[in-house]
Amino acid sequence: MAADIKQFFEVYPSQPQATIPIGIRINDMVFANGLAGIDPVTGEPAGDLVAQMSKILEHLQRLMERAGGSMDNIVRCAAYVTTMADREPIYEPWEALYPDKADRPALKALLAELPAGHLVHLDAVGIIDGKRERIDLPNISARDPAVKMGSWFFTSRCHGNDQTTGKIVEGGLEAETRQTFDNFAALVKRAGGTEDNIVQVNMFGRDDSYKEVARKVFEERFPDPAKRPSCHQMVNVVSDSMQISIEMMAAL
Amino acid sequence: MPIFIEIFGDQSVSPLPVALRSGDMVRGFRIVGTDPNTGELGKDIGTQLKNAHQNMKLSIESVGGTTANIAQVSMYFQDFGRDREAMNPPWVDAFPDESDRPTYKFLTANLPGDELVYMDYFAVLNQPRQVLNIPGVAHTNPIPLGVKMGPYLFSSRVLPYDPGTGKPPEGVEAQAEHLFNNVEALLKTGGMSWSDVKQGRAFVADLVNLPLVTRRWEKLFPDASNRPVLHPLKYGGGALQVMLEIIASEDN
Repeated sequence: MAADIKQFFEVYPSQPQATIPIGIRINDMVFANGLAGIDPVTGEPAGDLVAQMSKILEHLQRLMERAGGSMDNIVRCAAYVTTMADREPIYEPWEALYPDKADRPALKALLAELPAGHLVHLDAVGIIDGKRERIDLPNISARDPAVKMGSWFFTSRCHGNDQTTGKIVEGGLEAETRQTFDNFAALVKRAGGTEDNIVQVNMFGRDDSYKEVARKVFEERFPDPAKRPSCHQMVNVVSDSMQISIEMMAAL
Repeated sequence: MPIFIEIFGDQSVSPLPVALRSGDMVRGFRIVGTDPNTGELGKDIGTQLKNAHQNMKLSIESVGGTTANIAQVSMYFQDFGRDREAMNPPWVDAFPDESDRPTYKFLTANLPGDELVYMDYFAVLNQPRQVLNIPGVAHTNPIPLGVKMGPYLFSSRVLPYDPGTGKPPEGVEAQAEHLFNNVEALLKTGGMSWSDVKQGRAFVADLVNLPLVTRRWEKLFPDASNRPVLHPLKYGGGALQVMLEIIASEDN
């Protein structure tokens, strides 16, 4: 593939003593990976979980400014915490920053091992000059939205909700996986695309036992290996009421 | 727009992405000295470096590449002064052919907990590696002055040497002059010019001397609205008062 690269630069903290980049801009896209709630020079954590999350969001704001954009250009974030109990409190500074439910980035909160003293990390994707457009299915309520920005479309983690009742479909893992892909098809259509636009699918189950069935459903859904999206199957936190959560991104 | 996807390592172990891919360009990160089988952090710098090289190999392999695709590596040490002797043996093991290896830079950073080294890298898929050197401006470390892969050029920290003597000249002004000449020669060796440069990183031992770099940068790129970013970094210099690292890519 030809380069067609107009902008290609790393983003660093503003302090000239800080050595590690905190993000990268490639053309209009900005990626932050592993933002931590620390002082960029000393490495010292900012305090408790909420203080670290707040510090991360400050870093993200600076990063976006240095990349030539703002927090309005963030489309998708992933937060990583170390215990189940820490998943909820990070929403406090998040929702304070993005109070408008109709206009906030996609988000997921996962469990991961983090370096000593780090209670939360954040990855973010932004598109310079992009504007968020929340996409919903009529009968399915979603705390963390699916968001279209320019020619990109990112979901938060989605589930096997029935499109009429909003409830998780019966029938277990296989039925839920099929339903989630049906929901993706409906979402991406509302975003102005088709299933062919999906470029990546990330699945989450409680343990390895879900992988084979979910993979089979995925391959039936995308039968041509040459056109299949990149698919990752992870083991992580999944709500008690369901067997599987899946997120996707699409290039429209 | 180049296709962008996230790359993961062992998804049963960690949900943290370990790389981004945009077209044929790969950015790898989150590479530390944990044993890839047990997840345990190595007890000493030798073990952590060996593990980190193994993790970097796994990272590029999970994108469908090999270590032959790696163009440039950044290594951040908790205490470089103490651990510098450990750096090159695992590097030469990983990249034994001196006529075909990536370039690197090393820096000190306050890493969390017991992490002694952290690495990130750039790689380019489907392109051969072309090592770039210019006479009289050679690193004593086992790295080329720069690497060109496909449309991309990644430099090391280019040295402020006088190519006639193979040594740094007296005085920071003379060093800055040679430095920019050397970067230009490097670009030319790669068939490129200043107009292809997308980012510069200025390493200055004393920030007082930063204007020696920025003045030249602004002269090379007089249009402020179209000037590539230049990040300043203060580092412990010794005889080398000023160095410059660049990323360049050819337009289609």
